[in-house]
Amino acid sequence: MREILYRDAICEAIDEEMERDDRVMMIGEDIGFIGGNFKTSVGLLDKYGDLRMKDSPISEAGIVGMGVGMALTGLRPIVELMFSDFLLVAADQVVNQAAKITYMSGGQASVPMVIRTPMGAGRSSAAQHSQSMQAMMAHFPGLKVVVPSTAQEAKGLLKTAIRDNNPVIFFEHKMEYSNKFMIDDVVEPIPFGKANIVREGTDITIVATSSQVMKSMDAAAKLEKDGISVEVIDLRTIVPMDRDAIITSVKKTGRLLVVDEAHEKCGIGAEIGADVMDDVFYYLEAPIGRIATPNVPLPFSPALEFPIIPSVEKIIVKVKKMME
Amino acid sequence: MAEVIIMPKLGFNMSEGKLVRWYKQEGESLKKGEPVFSIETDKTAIDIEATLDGVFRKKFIEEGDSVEVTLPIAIIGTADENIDALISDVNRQLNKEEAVASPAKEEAPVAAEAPVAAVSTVAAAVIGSTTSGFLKITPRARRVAKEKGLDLNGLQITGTGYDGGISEKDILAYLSSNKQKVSPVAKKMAEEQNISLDSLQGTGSGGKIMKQDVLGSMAPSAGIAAASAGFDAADGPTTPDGKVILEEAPYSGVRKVIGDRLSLSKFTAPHLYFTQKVNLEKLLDIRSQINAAQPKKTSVTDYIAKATIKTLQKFPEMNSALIGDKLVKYKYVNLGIAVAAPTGLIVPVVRKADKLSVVDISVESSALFEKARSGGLAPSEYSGGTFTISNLGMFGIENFTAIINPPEAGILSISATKDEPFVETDKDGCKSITIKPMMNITLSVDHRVIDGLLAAQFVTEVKRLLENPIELLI
Repeated sequence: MREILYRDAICEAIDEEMERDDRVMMIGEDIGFIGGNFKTSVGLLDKYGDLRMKDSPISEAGIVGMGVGMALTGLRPIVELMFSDFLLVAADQVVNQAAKITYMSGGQASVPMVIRTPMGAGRSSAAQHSQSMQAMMAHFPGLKVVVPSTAQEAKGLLKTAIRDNNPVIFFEHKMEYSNKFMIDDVVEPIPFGKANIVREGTDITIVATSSQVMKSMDAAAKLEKDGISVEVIDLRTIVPMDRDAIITSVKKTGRLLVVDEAHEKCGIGAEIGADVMDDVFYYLEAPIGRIATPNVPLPFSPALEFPIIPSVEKIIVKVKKMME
Repeated sequence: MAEVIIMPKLGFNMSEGKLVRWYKQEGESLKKGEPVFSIETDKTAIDIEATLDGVFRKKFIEEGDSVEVTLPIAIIGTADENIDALISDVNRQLNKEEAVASPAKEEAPVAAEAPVAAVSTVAAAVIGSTTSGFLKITPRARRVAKEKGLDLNGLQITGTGYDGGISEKDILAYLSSNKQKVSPVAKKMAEEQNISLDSLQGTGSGGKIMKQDVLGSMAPSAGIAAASAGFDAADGPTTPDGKVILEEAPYSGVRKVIGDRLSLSKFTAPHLYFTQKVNLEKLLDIRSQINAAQPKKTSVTDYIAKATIKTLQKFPEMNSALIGDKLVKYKYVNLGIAVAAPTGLIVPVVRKADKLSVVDISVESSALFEKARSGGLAPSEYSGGTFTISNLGMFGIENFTAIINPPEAGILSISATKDEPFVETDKDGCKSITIKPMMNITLSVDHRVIDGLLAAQFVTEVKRLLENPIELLI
């Protein structure tokens, strides 16, 4: 075990995969000379050269389009979008091209491409640079959607994403890049579709994504002092989703709370709640709960921004309400 | 939101409460903790306090009225809210309850018991659900109740779960406080006798089911072993002759029906008893062969039933009754087999048993026993018997004499089969002692109808058939 910054764990995953497979390359704005807007590819230009670490013009549609083309012609590109909000600039390439090609070619062609992109609020990046796009991306068939929590998880899941033969949208939480985590010396790829029970409990199940896993763990530790035993599940991947892990846990605890940072409407909470309802209805002690961001654009002002995104306090209040 | 106040249940045996005084009149406001009314149980008078602030809006019964527990008696609400719908709900509930209660009461073998509110000198009123018929319960609790066989109808559990609904925890707490407290001996006995613990009312501390409760459900004559005479009289209510009372129960319902009928029998029909000792060696052997040869497990009782039926056909005078001033001989044998039901002794009847084989009898009687134990026997299934057998062999009884089930002419009491020394005579006339499974059977007859000779022949024929069981199968 050693201590590592989240951003360095990402960089290590890219480095190890580029070293392992010379078809892996990277393209994005400022990823080479600058080492990435969030410093997630520092040193890789020197190590692998301009051909495999490609700085691109400011054109997300162009970058993703190039990634799709590279993937179709035998490379395994990692495309970095500086903010996940810009997925919308590249939406046609992502949704209509990358996600559909395997299907429309009858399996003759595939797009082994990873789009890495930072999500989430908390840096006063305002309404156009703070969104969480995972629910929207999960809506379209053909894309895998990954929402890692810790540095260890991010490294293991990114390796799997790079080795996957389908287009993968990989959401890194921008508030975690500068956080320190403990990480194993060697991190193996973490399989998709296998949720991680990070804390066992008996009273309520929290299914969380990305940074909300850490917030839920903090909340669970505090709730334990009030005699409430919380089970926390790190969902890891939204597509594919580990329904079984959620169902098994809810059958045990009788309560389900989904914590995800994206807007509440048509979000991950609604999806998971409806998806598992058939299996858990007769096990529920309370209606399924959600914590998400309300349906308003994310404010620039920190005084307004923090109160609307999920927090440890909100999780604690909600859990207590569900336990009433 | 208006709340319905119901007649609280303050003890296991409380089935109705008498309202002795209303402290509030309609329109008066009241505060949480103030006494609202006083009720009198069979033991004491208790003031019931309001559990919320509000206005006493409507009373449904008057002072002096008695109502069954858990039925609504009043509505508390705010001064101006419309309670018309609630009133009509309550009226419907009261009428409906009365309509079904009167005919069903005597015959319903098991009345669903409402829960027990905490017993204290000043108890809080149990507040029922405001929307009649809607039970606020989580899906999980509903499933658990179903799995535990708990009937939710009429149940008054205070929900502590989400939004005040009944949660799994509430169901489990209810079950453990009301049903599942059971002494190890009672539990073992109930398991052995296949008696459902849910059907028993515990008389031990905190409603714990004790050995005597299980015994009581098997043999109705087993009374409550109350505190023995000579005990310190200072620790509770006492009988007129000064013995301390552990528990009192009304002599009514099924208990009273059994008592009335049996005292009628014992005091009017002069009983005469004939005992025979039966060697069951061959029968037990044949029974194990039959049980191995076909799926229905036959019991010794089934063979005794068959032997009794055959004997009754041979001596039809025994299949008779004294009805008024006439001696009646029956055309068919309707064989009653006494069984312990949750509420007491009951005698399901295998009808037109004349032609039934042992296995047929086994199939029919075990279905009836099952119903009897679950309290589901229809009146037609426990009436119309012409002769009765009563088997206490499974309880290791050496010998007993049953009371005739009137107006029948006799009853056969079956005791336990036990290995005993048995004197055998071989063909040379040499005697030796061996061990044989022996069973006592005792015939009780009504001497007004049956003379000793016939009774002796009858019981000896039953013995002969049981010792030559091949005849039971042809």
